[in-house]
Amino acid sequence: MRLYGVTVNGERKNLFVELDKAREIKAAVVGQGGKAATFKHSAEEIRIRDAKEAEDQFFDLGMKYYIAARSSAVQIGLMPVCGNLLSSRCRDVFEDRPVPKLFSE
Amino acid sequence: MFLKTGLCRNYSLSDLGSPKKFGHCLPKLWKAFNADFASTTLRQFDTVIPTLQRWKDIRYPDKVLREGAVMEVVWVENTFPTFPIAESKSPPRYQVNGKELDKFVITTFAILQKSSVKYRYIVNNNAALREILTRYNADVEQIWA
Repeated sequence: MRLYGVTVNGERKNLFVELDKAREIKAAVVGQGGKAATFKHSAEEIRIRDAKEAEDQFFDLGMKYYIAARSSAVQIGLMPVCGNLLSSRCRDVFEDRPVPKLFSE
Repeated sequence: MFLKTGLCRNYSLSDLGSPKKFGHCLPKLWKAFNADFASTTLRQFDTVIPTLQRWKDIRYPDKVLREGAVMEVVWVENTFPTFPIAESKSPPRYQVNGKELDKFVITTFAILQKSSVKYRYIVNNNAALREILTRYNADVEQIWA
């Protein structure tokens, strides 16, 4: 993947855009009397950018799962675990009474 | 997802999604996470991960139909030794400990140096939701404070 940024008046702007878009930005800056040049992002820069975005996405998904799982477990004893939707009565600190759901032959 | 949050710093998305490399295998993810973020605070979860992984074996009902299962969510410390049914005669037991999962989330946040401004805002503007997300465990307040 080839992605580009623009140096504007000596300041590097990491834009990660297509070349046409980078050229468009460069032309706009030059048109306003500034100095601009396009540059190609390195593979390492793109990898770091992608990793950061993935990290944010995984964290956001983790928060969603945690909130959904905990609230569901507390309210109705349903907790998603590794693809299961565990159905069980809660055994809590106020009602320390095990009422497991049993499946047996 | 929280383990993959940390792992994607050093592993590609294709590695994290590959069943051969990681996929949904918690022990593999846990081993790599421990290698990347060496911390003694993680040791306390070494027994939690296999407990959760067992749930993957019963995603489809065949094993449950064959062997039976005892499934429960608990909010107290480890209750395995006090369970009243004799282990030898009882079906396999599958348990999720809510307090341990809370502790796991708190610990990984500290390791990853993460917090969620967005969800903190949402939770703190919904009193009913906040109560549910902190019930049974005062320690979890720190996530939303």
